[in-house]
Amino acid sequence: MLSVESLASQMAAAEPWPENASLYQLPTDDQILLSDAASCLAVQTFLKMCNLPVLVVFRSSAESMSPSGKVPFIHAGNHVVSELGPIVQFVRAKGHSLSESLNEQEKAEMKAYMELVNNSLLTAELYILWCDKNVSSLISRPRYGSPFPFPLDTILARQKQREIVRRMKAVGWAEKTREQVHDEVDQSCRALSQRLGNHKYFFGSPTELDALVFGHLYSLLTTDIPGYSIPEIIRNYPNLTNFCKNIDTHFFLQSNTSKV
Amino acid sequence: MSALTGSYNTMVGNNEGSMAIGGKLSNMLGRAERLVAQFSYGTKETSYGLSFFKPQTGCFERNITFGLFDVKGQFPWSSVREVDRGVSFDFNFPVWRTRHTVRWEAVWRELSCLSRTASFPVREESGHSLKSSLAHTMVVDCRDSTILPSKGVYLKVNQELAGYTGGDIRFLKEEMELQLNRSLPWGCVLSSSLWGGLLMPFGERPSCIADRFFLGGPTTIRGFNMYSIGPYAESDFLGGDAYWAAGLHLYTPLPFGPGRPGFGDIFRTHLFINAGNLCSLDYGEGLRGHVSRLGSCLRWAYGAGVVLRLGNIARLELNYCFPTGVQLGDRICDGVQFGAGIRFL
Repeated sequence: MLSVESLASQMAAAEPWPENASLYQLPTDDQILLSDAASCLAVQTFLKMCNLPVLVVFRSSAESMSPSGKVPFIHAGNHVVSELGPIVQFVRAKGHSLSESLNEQEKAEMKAYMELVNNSLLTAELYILWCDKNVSSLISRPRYGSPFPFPLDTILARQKQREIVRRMKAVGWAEKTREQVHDEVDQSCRALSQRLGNHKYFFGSPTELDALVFGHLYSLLTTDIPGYSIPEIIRNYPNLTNFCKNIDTHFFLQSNTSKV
Repeated sequence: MSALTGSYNTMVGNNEGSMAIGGKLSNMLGRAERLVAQFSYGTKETSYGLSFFKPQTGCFERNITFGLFDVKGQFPWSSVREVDRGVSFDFNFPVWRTRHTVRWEAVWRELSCLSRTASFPVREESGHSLKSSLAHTMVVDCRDSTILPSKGVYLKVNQELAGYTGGDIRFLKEEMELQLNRSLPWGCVLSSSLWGGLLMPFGERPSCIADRFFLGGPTTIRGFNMYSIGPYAESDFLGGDAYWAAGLHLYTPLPFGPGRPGFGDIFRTHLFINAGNLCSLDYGEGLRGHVSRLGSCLRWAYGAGVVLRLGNIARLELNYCFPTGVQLGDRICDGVQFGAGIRFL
């Protein structure tokens, strides 16, 4: 898999970033779930940080269209690349990189923090969406099944839930309680908050870590999940909320107003 | 005949092999009911199915069949992998000299790309859909043999309406097959066929690649590769919403010895010319536009070959083809082409 990806990146290097590049994600109003919304926002932020224009396309079948089965993915030229990691590699092959200036130690540190976000925040999101009976029956399953006709809506949502629960069991999360999940989120927020300190970005200038952290924290802050108090936990770390506000103003609000 | 029979066989088809295991419960409830279960495992296709057949007492031709199936298939000409799971209900009945079938089916279809390099229009077709449709087929068969007839007419008209009994796929599909055979002196037979089809999707969504028509190959338009005619993207064929195909054959028993039982009975040589076209329709053009589009960019080929009849259900063909009317993007088979199948143009 890796060799295929690196080969694809090498082939991609010959061409510049295409003007008609598109980012495919799920419709935000009635279908997308917290974990996918966070991943999509992270990729969108990353591309904005690289100053690469993309057209965002909302497709209810985006998950099936993605080569890895996960959203988001980009369609650039003849290439289809999904998820943040491979997209970062692909973009680097096109000559755009945010982490080029970091030294080896910083790069390793950045990777470690990205792993932390994926292993704790993303896993916590998936736990809440699919392992919590209340949330999964009230929110996740109906939203996930919404684009499909009866009885596919139920079948596909149940199938998805089984798959995620199996994955949660493998990483030892399936049996966690709500308090333990709150604890996990709190611990990773503390780690991120300590690393960030009073800086604007984790490593001086924006990197893919900033995009990933922003994607998850912003999505968690703006989503109200019955029975959970994740936004309150994050708000205990004012530097993290400021970090989100800063990126939001700098890359989203400003670029929007400049277009208008 | 024992009530329970089992079967095992292996099949080799177009670049694929498969193995099938089946079980059959004949006369299950004492009124010629039949329960058939089969499982087939192949290099490209895996399927299993269960069907229950019940004829009306005293009229075997009037019967009902209920089926459950799960079919996984790969279509390399369009880089598509398709998984179909569904139920079907068929009602067969004769009316005068025609046979009719009314079929309801509900199929959960899952489409995905065969490889990472599949073209983007094929990738856009990926996903789940539910097709629920009502179909009616009428067949008139006055031929003296199904595989190598010497006289008679065959007509099949099929129409399918999807979307009114549930599901998210909505279309009306019309298809027609006509074959005329005429005996000539010295045991020669002149056979002509005409096929046509039209798919009209309803609503905003364009037609799905799984519903569209595909044309080309040794059993349809000879001289072209399997389903390699018409709209395409990169190296994937996308199928079309309308098609027509016509073929003219001159079969002769020469040089295999006409009239002699055995060898001459199952072999024929033939000269053929076949033509056709497949295109997508955009529905703003009106009838005249569609007809002119189907008439332009014609595909045609001629050639000669040997036909072998396998029992009364299938036939093999070995032809030498000259694809003459070729359009940009078509994949041709210039020279020797081998075909096996049960339905031939």
